[in-house]
Amino acid sequence: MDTRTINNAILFDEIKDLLAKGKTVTITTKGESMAPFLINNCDKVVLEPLPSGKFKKGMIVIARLPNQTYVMHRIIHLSKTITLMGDNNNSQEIITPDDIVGYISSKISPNGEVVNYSSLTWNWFAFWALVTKRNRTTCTKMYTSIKCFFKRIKKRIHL
Amino acid sequence: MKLKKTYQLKQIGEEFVVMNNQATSVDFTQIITLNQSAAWLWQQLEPMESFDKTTIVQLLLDEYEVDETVAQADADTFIQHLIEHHFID
Repeated sequence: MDTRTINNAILFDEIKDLLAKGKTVTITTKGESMAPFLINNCDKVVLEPLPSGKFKKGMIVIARLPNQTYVMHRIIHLSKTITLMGDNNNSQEIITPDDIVGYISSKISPNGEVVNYSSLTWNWFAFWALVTKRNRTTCTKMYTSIKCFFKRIKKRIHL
Repeated sequence: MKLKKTYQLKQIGEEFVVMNNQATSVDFTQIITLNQSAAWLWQQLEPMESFDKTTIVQLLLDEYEVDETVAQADADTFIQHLIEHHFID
């Protein structure tokens, strides 16, 4: 299969038009900013239009930033403005509702497993992202250490 | 034969892609891309009410410096792809 890469801003301009027409769009994710929920170049996501006023914390949205680039990050705070943050990032983006192009209604893993918005798995990752937003690096290190600890125990049991 | 009106050629960045106008969902992970010469052929054939292999061969001979054997083979490949992806009526 031939794989082509289209410039982020050009592709998302096209996606923005398609979503504005009420269509759903499927793309392969790029970048590490939403790891471990979205794996770079592996997971696919289904994007849907998002009516204004339907924004919720924990949603992953596509938004156009003032520098004309697009991000696919999670909503971590809602007020008059909307704060976004990648699950694997320390930095945040503050945007307005008009900057939001659409949201991820589901992700599809390479093995075909589908995780829908609002499912248990989705909510677990959203919960983790919201709890760790203030000290992402420390929390990620703790999470990785705990995961490694349990992996080592599992390995010893098998030995 | 003729190109189905439901399909439209679009240029996204440097890529030429064929999109279904009537589809409610667009899958960019499965999208059909055309190279420059195929995209040029599509643009020539799109307004035509009807075309056949001879039309394509003639278009290729007029536009590119190729001999008739190559043009015939390219036309066969192009038509094969159109049929495979259900782009023609």
